[in-house]
Amino acid sequence: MFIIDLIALFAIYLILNLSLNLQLGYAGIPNFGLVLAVTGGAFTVGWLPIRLCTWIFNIDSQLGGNIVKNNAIIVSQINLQIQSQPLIGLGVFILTLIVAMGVGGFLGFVSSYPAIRLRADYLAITLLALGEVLSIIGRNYEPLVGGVIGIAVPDVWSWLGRNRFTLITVVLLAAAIGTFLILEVLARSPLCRTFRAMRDNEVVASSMGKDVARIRLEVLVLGSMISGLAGALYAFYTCYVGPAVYGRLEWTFLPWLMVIFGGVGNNFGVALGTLIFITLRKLIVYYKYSFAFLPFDVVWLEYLLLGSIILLILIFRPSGILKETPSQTIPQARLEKIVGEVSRKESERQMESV
Amino acid sequence: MNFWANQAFFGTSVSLLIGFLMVLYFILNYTKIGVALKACVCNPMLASISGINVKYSNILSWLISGGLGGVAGGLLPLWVQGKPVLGDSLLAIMFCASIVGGVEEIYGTVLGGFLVGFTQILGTSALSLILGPAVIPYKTIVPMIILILTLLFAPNGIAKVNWKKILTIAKFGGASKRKA
Repeated sequence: MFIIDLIALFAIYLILNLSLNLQLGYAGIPNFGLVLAVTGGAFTVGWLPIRLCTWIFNIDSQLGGNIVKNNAIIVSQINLQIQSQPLIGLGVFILTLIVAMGVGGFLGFVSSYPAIRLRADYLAITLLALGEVLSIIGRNYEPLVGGVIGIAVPDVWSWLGRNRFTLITVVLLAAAIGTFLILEVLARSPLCRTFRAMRDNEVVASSMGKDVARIRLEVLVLGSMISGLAGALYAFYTCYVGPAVYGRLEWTFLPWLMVIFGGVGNNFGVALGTLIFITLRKLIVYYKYSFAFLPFDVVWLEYLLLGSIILLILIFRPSGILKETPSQTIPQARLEKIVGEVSRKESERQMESV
Repeated sequence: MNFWANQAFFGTSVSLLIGFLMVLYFILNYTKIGVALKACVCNPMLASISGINVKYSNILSWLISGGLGGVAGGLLPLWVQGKPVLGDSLLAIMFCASIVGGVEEIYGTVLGGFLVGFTQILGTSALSLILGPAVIPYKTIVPMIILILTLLFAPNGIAKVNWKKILTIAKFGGASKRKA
């Protein structure tokens, strides 16, 4: 159970960190508002599936009148129905994920539009300030996700029975690996070279005919879509959505820490950093009582360690564990073959001329 | 809290604000250290060429801002309830105030702070009279709306807005534009 939970959390955070790495590492946008898109994705999961399932399974209209109040009864009825009809559960899952990505992208667009033409630090401050807006709304507007108490989400994996957590972890890991592959292909594409050019020198990039504001907006929308996906997957994993879960610390500062720790601008480094950090946090939580000899409360150990690690990393190795490397567009073997052919032809030509 | 305690607290905080503001304005505009700090912000490389130690300037500015933050933090629990998440809850509003005022002039922050604070309290109470008490919990969103409006229409903050130009346009109906 420990390992399964660890892998699931690792997969969710990996998706989020890869999105941050796309924005921070490749395009140079300091996005301090990751939490906004994550909350958007999670709130979609809190709002949509329960209404969709109530409509599909024709749950009693008296109960459906007040979804937030009768939340527990409705969700248990839906779970019973999904146990006999797994396909509907899968359909709801995929549809909700697509909607959550759309919501995340929209939120990324809206939050970055006012400051997209200004300097990068203005953009960072705007994103930071707007980050918690959605969770304030969620806390006060009950029909969205049930106010402060939160809302239970129908378990679309309830047809798996006892194997639920194992299989959902496999699905999450597959999603993370898929995101990793897509972003790794993206990192080797001409598009990403444009991003890097923009990151290194905006003036030069715009003099080459690149619309810097537009590219930034595209990167932010793409990154926010991926962040929304991560938030939605987390909500489906825990089967609960509440505004208190989506704080700035867990969903903005921890991903930043992991990305800086692993290596900005290197997807493999980000994966490594995420793995180390999640394992460390999980171990501290799991073996809390073994740390009883410490002179302070164990609760603070996690924060102390994270803070000291970030300071050490910034002092001794500012580029992270794995440095950013020039991305290879074709495999190494093919590259060597081409170089060999070119040099052979060159030597032949020299022989002929002699 | 009785009336005189309120008055005393208000007097202390405002006089501290005015004192720090005057000292900072003097330092930033009329001493070598202040000019060096400004030069480091504008162009660090050029500043280091002309003999300014950029690293120490950065450390000095962090020192000053940290100390001022400490003063504000010491005054805060006298007025509102102190709690561990106090700083986190004020984070967004502080950034809003500094951006609305403009980060290039020291008095811009005061303007922005007063504007954001008054709009947050008075604006929310006015809205609650019109729309009912349901809007009161959303008062933390008001500064964000001001922030977005500022960034869209006056991205350098209200301290940098060219009021003379706007007033002439308002007076002569855009005639000055045609003349120029």
